[in-house]
Amino acid sequence: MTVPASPPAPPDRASDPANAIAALLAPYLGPNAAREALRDFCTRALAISPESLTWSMVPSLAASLQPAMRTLLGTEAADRLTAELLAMGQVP
Amino acid sequence: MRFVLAPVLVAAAALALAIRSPLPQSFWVAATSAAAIFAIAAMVAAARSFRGGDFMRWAWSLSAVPYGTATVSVVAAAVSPGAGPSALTLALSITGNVISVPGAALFVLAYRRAGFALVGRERAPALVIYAGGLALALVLGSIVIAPVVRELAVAQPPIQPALDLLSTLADAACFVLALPLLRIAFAFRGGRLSWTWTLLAVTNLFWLTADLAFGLAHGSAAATLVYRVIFLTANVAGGAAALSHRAAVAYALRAATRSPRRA
Repeated sequence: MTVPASPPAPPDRASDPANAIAALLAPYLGPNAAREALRDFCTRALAISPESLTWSMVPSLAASLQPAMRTLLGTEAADRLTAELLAMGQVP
Repeated sequence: MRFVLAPVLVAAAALALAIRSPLPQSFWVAATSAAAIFAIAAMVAAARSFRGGDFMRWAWSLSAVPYGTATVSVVAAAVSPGAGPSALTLALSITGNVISVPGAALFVLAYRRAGFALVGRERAPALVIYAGGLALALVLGSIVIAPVVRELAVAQPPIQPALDLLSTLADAACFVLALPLLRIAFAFRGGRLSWTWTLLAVTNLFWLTADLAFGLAHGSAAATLVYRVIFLTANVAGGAAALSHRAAVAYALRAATRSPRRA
């Protein structure tokens, strides 16, 4: 259960969005729960599989993930993580 | 990882000291009170890392209450030894025991509230684990409760045995809640939140285990030592759980202050 002491580099815009979002959640939820959460929320919020996720869908996914992260990490951290997710989707 | 080391080191140090030479009762009272004060401070710090209205602020605030009531009760008993439970310590003891159960339950509920659910392949083993945990809690609880119930029938007034019964029932409920806490910790394996839920599970498992060690001690020095070390460790583990959660929040805030790398 080793996690890095300092935050990892932000996911690359050019990478697969599902992998990038899972990598953003993994330091908190762990890699398994991060993938499961991504799968659950993709299905519930967008009715798609994570493999079908595109950057244009990331804002909707971020909005559905925000309450979950707010419960576990608080409003401030969840808002910042959501902002980071949205920024990942906007960077050209 | 470093948060798990705190209760392990405290338990090891207490055992090493006690094995070298028997420690007086006053040492254990002071050490346990210090550990409880550490837990209260850590839980208040964890609660303050969340905003008002955040679910976890409530969870940590509520969790700090039993440690506070227990510490005040211990201090009150030390100030007037042999006086028996006063109205204040009675109220504190009831409040602390009653609140300990929803305090632990909130951390179980957090997982569901966050929208995470058991996936199909986890659901059946989880039910088996919960049923096993409930059965184990009933068996362990009954070992502790049986002499308390006998004392309750003969004690006049029956205040202390009634408090002991309430405390054991609350500890048994926390023991059962430790199993979903462990399952959540396992689901979060590899993540920072895993340590928080692991340490919370250890704390909740240890309360009933301490009761059991105390109930079976019957004057045995070794069993009494085990009870004292478990009780001390449970307090430290509660504080370490709070600090690990606070650190996870701080990590998220640090991580989110960077701007994303451009492709």
